[in-house]
Amino acid sequence: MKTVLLIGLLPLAAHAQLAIYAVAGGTSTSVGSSYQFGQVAIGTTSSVQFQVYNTGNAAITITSVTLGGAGFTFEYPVQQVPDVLPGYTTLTQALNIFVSFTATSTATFNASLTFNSSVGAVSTILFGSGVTAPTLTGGAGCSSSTPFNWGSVTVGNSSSCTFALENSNPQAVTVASIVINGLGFTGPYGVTTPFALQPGQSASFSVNFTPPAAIAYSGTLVIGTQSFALTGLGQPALLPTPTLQFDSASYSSAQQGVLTVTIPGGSPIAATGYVNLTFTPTTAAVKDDSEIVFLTNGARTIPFSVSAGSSTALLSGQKSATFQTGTTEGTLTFTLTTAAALTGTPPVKQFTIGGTKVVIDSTSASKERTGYLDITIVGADNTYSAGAMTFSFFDTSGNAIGGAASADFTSSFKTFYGGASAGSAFQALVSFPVTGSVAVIGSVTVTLTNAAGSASTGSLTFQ
Amino acid sequence: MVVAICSCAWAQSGIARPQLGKILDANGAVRTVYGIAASTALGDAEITGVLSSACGKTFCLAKTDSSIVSASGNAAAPAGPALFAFDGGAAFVWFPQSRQLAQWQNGVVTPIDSSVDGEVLSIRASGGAVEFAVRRQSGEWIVKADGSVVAALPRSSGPVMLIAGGVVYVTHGEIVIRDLQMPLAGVTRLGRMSAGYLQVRAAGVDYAIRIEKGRETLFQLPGVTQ
Repeated sequence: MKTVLLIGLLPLAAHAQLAIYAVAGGTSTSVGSSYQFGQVAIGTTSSVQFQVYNTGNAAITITSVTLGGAGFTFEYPVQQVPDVLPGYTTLTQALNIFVSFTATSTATFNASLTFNSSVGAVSTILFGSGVTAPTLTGGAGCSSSTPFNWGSVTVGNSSSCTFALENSNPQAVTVASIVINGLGFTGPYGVTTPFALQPGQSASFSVNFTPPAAIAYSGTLVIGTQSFALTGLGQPALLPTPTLQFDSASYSSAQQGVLTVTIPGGSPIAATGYVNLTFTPTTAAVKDDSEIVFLTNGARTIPFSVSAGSSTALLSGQKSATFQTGTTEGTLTFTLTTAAALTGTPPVKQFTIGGTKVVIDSTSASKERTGYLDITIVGADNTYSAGAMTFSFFDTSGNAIGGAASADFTSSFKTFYGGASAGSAFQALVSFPVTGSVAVIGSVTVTLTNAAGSASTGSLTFQ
Repeated sequence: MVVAICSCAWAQSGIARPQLGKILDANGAVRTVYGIAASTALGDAEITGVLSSACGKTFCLAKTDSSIVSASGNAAAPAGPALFAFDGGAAFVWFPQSRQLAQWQNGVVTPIDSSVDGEVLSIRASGGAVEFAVRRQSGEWIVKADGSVVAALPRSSGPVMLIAGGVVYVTHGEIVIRDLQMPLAGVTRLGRMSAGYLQVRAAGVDYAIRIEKGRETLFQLPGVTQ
């Protein structure tokens, strides 16, 4: 009698050893006699993973798994049935079954999910209902319809798009979840799921797009069982076109100017680059003037750097850079190069250095050397056309000694400048042989003439 | 008395690249400064390992750790830097570490007795007599080699350089030459580039100051890679 009773109770005992769980969002919940798929938008599919495992001591063989009813299907073919579940089966050793529910109309659907085993069957009834999906519309910040596009957004910046979800159905709709997938997209903000939308009611929420790099991005906005494409383009951060500022509106030869570089409105990014100085001589006599340089490094290029938020660039680490204009007529051109994308065209600033009369820097007149009058003139001829000179000698009383003596040293200057690129600065020593006493010779005035006119040394007293 | 100036013989003229003088760069190298005021270029390093250098009208001297270098060769000298004063074809040298005055002439260094108290900032010479700019607790003074005071100097906050007929000194944020004040902060060194120019180092940048009366000007010199 006891044996009969035991045999009669075995199916119930074994039946109790099989447990069904539904897995969603990484958590398992025990499934009772029924399971609700909930509302599913018509034309979309909701999938659920079910697990069955053995909570008893003895192994159980799952002989078959069946699904009977409309709207529900196995998502994948059921594998490894019959399958033996050992006693105290862990979840990783459970039999996994994936069931999909596809709503085809605004109706309620059900099906029976049954696990047949060596100790009997265990089953649960699956329910689901089809509803017309609420309408999703994109608002400010992105396109209004799918794919919802943020367009170009500066790398590191965040652009928000506001969405409106409206229930145009005659019945309430439950929004079970809103999930944002995809690198660069975050949200939703301003909404908590699940929530119910009454007929005619709408809810709004926002999604942010924050591109971490200058590439195209795509993601998805999943509302319940509906999925919407999200797109956006990461755009390199732009450096407001720097402004080259100088301490003078114009320059001439043998001057030093000061350059500063400012970033209008401040720079949103850190950036580096170079300020470049080029020179194009007006005269064909020389091809360059090597004294036209930035003084900080004696070169034609200096590095600049600007930190995020700063409105002033550092030039070779300093707030400004001093440059020389050299001693050659021509055009100075300042440009700026950087790997950073600019909001406008790179700045260019040009200065025309006009031709001038000979610049006389220093002079001396000496009669110390026996038999000679030595006149030294240090200057610069930025036209490279000097050579003609006139010498007027005076006695110690200021009276002219003879007439003015003219001389042409053009050939000597051309030889001196020929092939050189060190600028037009020169030191000319002119020696006049004299006979007799030089005691009465008091001074000399020298006039130097070039293409731009004549320059005088003024009276030079012989020492 | 008749004087004849031959106006047909200027074939004896010569044209060369002008020089402003020589500087001691931040790397301890002496370099020639070519060009004219505000438009200059530096020549290559001529002497390295230099602690002090200066140029007069006709020649330059450099002090390495143990010798004075000139165009005519090296002469043994006390260790450390030196201050120079040019007097025609000779020069006077002050060695701060040993507080020794010496005369350099034709490559020979001859010690000279002196009795000067305080920190010697600069020296100058004329007609064989040496004057010192000294900083003492009582102030700054120009004194002779025997220690007697010649004149008082304005209170300065940095380097001082005695020049012919005057003094160049530094106050807070300015260089003062005669009655001119030139804004320049962070001056740490004054050097004698030539008879007409001083080298000024301020905040690691080299400048030149023209000291010719009536033509005083300050401009930056090209930098060198350190």
